[in-house]
Amino acid sequence: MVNTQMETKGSKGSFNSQHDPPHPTVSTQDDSLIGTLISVFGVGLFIVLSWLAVFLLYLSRG
Amino acid sequence: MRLHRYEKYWLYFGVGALVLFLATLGVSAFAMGFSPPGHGDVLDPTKVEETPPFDEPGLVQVDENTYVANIVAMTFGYTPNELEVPVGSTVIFRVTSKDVVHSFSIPKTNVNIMVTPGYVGEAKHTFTEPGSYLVLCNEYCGTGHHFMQMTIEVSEP
Repeated sequence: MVNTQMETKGSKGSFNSQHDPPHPTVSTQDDSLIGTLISVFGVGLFIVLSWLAVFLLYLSRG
Repeated sequence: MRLHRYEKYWLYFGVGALVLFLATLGVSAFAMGFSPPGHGDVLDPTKVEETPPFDEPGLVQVDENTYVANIVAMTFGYTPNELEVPVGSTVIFRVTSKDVVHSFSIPKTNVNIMVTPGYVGEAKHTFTEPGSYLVLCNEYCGTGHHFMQMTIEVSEP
């Protein structure tokens, strides 16, 4: 019903075109997040390896 | 709730790290006996010189290779300010303060006690290498803080 009215207005020369604006598409491809995954794993591994180094230093001085 | 599979990987990693850290903490504390260098012993900081064993600070031999070192920290030094033990000795340091917060730390070892007035800090170390070990205060305790030190001489038997 709304579309019909808009088309009618459009046909009378208003600013609305006869076509609906394109809907934004959401990408679900895994590739779009691979950079994020690598970044957070980089930070996580840095934390774990730093902790491990300090813990081994503590054990070696026991 | 829908989770992206990369988010699941990150959650597995996070939960795994948490389990690893907590398991290490539990095993260290309960199976290996690691603990912070405060053992809950208390005393009146205004009567340190009258309270055993700090009325006679110094080294006490417990068995063939084990010693207890009762040490009093004060601005700006330790009593006694020199200890001598043979190589291979295990020394249990028991330290208290009679004025402000100090520390008792031996560089390159795990001995690093925060010495708080009214409490007894305790740490243990086995000296496997001969030499002169410097003990430092690493809690700023006043204008003479940088002079506060003592030595432990570890000699061949």
